[in-house]
Amino acid sequence: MAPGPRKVALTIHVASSVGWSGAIVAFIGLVLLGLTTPDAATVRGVYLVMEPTAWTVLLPLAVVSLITGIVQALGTTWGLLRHYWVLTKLAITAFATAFLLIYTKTFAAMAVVAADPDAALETVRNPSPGVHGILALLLVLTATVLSIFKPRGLTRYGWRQQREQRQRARPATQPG
Amino acid sequence: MSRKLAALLSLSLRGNTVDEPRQRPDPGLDDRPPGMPRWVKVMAIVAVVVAVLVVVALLIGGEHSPARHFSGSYGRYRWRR
Repeated sequence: MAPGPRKVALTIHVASSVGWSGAIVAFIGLVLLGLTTPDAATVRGVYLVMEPTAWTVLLPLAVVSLITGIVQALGTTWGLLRHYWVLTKLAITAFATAFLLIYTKTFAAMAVVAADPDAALETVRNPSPGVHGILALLLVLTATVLSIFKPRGLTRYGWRQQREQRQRARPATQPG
Repeated sequence: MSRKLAALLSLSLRGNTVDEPRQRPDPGLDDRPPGMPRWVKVMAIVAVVVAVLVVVALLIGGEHSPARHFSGSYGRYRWRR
């Protein structure tokens, strides 16, 4: 990939990933508010707003992070399957995105309960998105740490690729 | 000269292969594929332990549906719109 498009893709990838982490933190904050506030309208509002926000903010950021990460890996010498840290990041992001997609059902369920005027306030309050949010944040932060530290470790596929590249380059670099 | 110092000098003469694996003097040295790094093994063990815990929780607690995330009785709510 040319340096220009590579930097654009990297910028989008970093922005979406950081935005995803921030959105998860915001959800955890919302849950804390929902669990602690004595105001009934606020409690219901918290659980009503989660589903549309998940669809319009969380999920798009997760998908953009996943796609730009794959583009970034395939468009650079890192490759998608050559280094363990890239492979691990891919697995984490794909798992977290898939899990988020499944969890939208729970957001919808909580919104149904919150919209029911007969539902008791203690019924509407739910710590589940907070627990899942903390786990998601741990996953995304792990992916961030991997991106920054890039721990060493070639996969067998990456090792074979590197060896083939060296063998191709050797005749040209050897003197005589 | 202590053994430790000799080992350090020996390592520096050969090149720091731990920090600079791409600058090995002889590419023919890595004829065997590298093993899985320790950090990958640790993460894999953690992932397996978490997966086992989730499976155990599912076996004990039943289906992991949206209803499971509530403490009361929610049979009257429709979970899918």
